[in-house]
Amino acid sequence: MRRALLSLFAVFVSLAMYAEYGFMTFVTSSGATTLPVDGMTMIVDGADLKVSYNGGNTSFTLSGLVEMYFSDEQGTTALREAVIDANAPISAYTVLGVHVGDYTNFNEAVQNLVKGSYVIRQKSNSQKIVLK
Amino acid sequence: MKKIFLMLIVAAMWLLGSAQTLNVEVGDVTYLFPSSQAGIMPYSTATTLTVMDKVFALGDITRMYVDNTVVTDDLVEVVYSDNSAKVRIAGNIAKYMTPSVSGANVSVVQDATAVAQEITYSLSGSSSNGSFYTSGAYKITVSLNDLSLTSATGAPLNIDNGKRIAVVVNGTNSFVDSSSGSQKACVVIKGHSEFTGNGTLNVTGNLKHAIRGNEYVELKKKFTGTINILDAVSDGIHIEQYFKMSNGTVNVLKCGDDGIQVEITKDVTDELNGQVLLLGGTLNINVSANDIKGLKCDSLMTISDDLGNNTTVNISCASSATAAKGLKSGGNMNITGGTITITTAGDGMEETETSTSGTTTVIGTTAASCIKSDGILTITGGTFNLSSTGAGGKGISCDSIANFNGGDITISTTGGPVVYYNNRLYNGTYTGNLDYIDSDFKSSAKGIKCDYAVNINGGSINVTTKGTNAEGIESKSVLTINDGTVVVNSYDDGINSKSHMYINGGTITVIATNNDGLDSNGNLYLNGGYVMTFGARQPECGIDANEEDGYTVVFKGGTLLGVGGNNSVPSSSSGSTQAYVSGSGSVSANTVIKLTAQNNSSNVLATFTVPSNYTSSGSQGGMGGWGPGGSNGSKILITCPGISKGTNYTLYNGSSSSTVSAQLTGSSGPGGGW
Repeated sequence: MRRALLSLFAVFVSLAMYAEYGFMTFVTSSGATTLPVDGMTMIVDGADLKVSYNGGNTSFTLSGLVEMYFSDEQGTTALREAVIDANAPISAYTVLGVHVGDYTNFNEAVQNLVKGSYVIRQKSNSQKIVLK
Repeated sequence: MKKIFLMLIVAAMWLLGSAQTLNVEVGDVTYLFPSSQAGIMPYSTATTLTVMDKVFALGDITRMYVDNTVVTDDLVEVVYSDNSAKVRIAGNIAKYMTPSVSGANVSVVQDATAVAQEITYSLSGSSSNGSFYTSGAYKITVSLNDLSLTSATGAPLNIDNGKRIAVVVNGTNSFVDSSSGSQKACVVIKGHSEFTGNGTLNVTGNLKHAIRGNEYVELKKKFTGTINILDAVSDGIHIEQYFKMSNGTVNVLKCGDDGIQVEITKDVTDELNGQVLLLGGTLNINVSANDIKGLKCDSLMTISDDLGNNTTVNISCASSATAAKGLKSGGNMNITGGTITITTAGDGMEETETSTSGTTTVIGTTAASCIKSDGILTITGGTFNLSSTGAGGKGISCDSIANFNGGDITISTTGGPVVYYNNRLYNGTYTGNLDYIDSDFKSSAKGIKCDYAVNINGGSINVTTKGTNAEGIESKSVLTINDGTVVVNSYDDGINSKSHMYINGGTITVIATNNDGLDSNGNLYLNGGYVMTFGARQPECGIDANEEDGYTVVFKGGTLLGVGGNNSVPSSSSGSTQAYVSGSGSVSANTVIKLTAQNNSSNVLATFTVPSNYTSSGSQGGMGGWGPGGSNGSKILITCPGISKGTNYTLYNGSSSSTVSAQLTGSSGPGGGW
């Protein structure tokens, strides 16, 4: 029973990671817009990305669209704080998604990356970091 | 505790239902990116969107939407429906995959250099004009889930990946290929495939093979399902490297060539190259074409029941399958267990050779055989029921040495000889004298035929041959019996050796209705064992050494009753050390023949009960009751431990008795003392 309970708890913890992104943030050259993902559909229509969701719709000009990402709170412009194991291998990307390197652990990544903003990925976790 | 458990389940279910996933739909392919993995998704110059390193041309995207789909990493799902198919690819592997969908023909190409994790392809649905192709250079799993594909253009399933391919068979799956195209089989697997699952796989090969494995094919212990080869123009299953079966069932119901064929690869260092290993499960094979094999391999064939999965082999070669072989190994064959039932009904055929100029020449004859080993045959266990009914048909044929160390072997043949004479093939219909036919151009039926030594060290062998000229057991070299039980009922010689014959032990009963019981073309040594051997009337013998060429029988031990038109006896130079007695008279079924000390019937030196199926009428020896030996009477020879040269004994034949005198050597001829 104890083993089953622990297993279920582990499943619960892992599933919890999927439950915290209720929004999508669109970053354009003129700022960021965060919209709820409930019922969200996006269609490329000519020069625009048309976004509809439960409660509204909007569109972004593709030429001004820089990036989008899931977020956990409306108005928040940061990625969720994922649990990163400092001793496990990680991969680093620019905020534009360009892969810049693989590192055996977090410290090695910090020592080798130049100043700037990065998204580091470890297994299924991603986290945005800023090196100053 | 229960309450906490339930709460956690409810919470987990709620969370499961609330996970967010970005679905990027490109035609019939959807990429699924979990919100927890998606990270930052950059747009570039209004032309591309990059998600988890997968670059999408914006113009290709049909739509994107967010839902609560739970994504399984490393999974590609393909669902077929009539003439269309939908593909779903997990986001974490999206960057490695190049899919394409045309109608219900799906291709998923993996990045051969970048993939470093095992990807699972889950295939389901049905299409009458569909197919699945994948390529890559890293091991994968292909899960077949109630999938039914018929291809109108080629192979419905083509795994063009040279690594380990785990094939999981769930539900009932069906594959049918087109009768035209360039495919080598209906189901083609480039790599080494390992089957698990409990479902059914039905395969029809309309152009060539039904299933082709370019590397080994293994049915794992976890495979409890069934593979049905419904039909194949060529081999049912064609494999390179090796075939290993540990469990499950394979049924080859119909094929135009071999049931299962295993070839040696070009790389001779490949593991188990050219081998068959049947370690468990049930194999049922029906074959019907000329000169084909039920189960064939280029190298070693091993059959055992070591896994305790009741290894069962049933092979049926139809009457149309002339010169067919049930089991055929190009190398050695080792059988230690299992239940093996093989029937061949086909006659023999010409063996031809075609020159470089295209001229075809008949170089001999070839006939059917239930088991054929080109290398050393070793049987140490198992139950065999082998039946060959065509002309020239054999139970076991071995081009090398045959060792019988155990097992329970029953063989029956009924065919006559195959003869090629004067540009004509005779399948059991030749009426001329076979002695004038070159040995390459005739093939008599035999229970066991071996080109080199036969060693019987244990087990039970029961051979019956009924066709003209059909011998029971034949060695083209030395034949040795050390132990075991051997029963032969044959038309021609019961047990024959081209060279010496050694009987050192065992229990041997031979009835040859038209020739010798034991026929050695060298010396015949009796050193042990218990032997009853019945030959036909004169000039045939119960025991026959090649006296014409200066050979002899040698008695140094053992107990033997020889009955026939004559019996060879030790020559003066034989070195024989155990005396014998001889007499003549009629011998009947169920009669007890015994040798006792003279005037002391309770001192029995040897006793024999004539087999119930023995008959002394017709062409056999023993006509007309007791009397002098000759063409109408059986010669009887007994040798056993404890009898001394020059001593008189009483020989009982049923209720009759006579005094016989033991001698150490002699010359074949009429017996005395009756």
